[in-house]
Amino acid sequence: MEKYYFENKELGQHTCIVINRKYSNAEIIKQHKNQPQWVQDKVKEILYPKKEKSEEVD
Amino acid sequence: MDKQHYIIISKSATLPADETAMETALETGAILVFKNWNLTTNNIAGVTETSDLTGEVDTVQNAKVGFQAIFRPLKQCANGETANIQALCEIIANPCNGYKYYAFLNIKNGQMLITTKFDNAGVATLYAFQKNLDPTQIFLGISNPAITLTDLIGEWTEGVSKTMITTYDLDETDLPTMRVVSLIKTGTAKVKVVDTANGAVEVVLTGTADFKINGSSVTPVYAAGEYSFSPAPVAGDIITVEDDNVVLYESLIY
Repeated sequence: MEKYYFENKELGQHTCIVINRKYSNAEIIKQHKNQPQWVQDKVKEILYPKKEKSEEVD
Repeated sequence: MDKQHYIIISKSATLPADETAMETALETGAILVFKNWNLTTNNIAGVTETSDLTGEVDTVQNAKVGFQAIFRPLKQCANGETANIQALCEIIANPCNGYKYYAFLNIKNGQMLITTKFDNAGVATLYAFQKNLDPTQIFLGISNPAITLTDLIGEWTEGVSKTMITTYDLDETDLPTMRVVSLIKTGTAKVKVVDTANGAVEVVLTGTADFKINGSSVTPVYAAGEYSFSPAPVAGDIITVEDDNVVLYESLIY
């Protein structure tokens, strides 16, 4: 079980996103469908982290 | 908080023969919990068959018009599973409206149920909840200090061997991590946390407060005084909340 805390000061909201990896990413996203869009976006960022670009070597 | 008493009933219990005594105790604030209640062999007034144990869970909220019924897990086992959850069933009877309330937990069959005996119209109403709870211990608490432990045991142990009962006389300092709050259902998949000890003052938990549905952590989102959950609870689910800074143990049958 993973937990991630986020606050959206602009909207006056906070959340502690719970990710249970026993479920598929699609299922986790589906579980959060009833939450605000910014929370859903955070869930997707957690599930699909952007890969850091490797430094180019001459 | 007034001094409270707790009795742990460690084995099967049967309904006291003297229902008047039960009613009296309830009306004066007793909190009653029976472990291993077996509906197939024990007869609750007005209910004789387990097939009667149906009902919409959200009617509990409707019933709160007349009283408050809260199932409050006091402590969960270390691994967070619900297997050894300890539950407290609290019934706050409102003696003004004439209702009589009984509450039972059928732990053996994993069934929680709460029932009113009869309403003013003489109609028995029963609410049942099928949950996979398996408490190792059930607390029977008396919130009304006017009722002594001795009185309660004397009145309530008809049919229950006293050797089955372990009594504890606790005061607030023995329950340092418990704070009395209520989760109030305010909409679809939304609850409000209120401090019932201070006149239903809204409680804003820390950002990392742990909400659980049937023992499994879920994502809470706080907005405008309400918490919503993902996945959303459904009828029959039990919501609990714990907060590291203000440790809460409270539940709501959604």
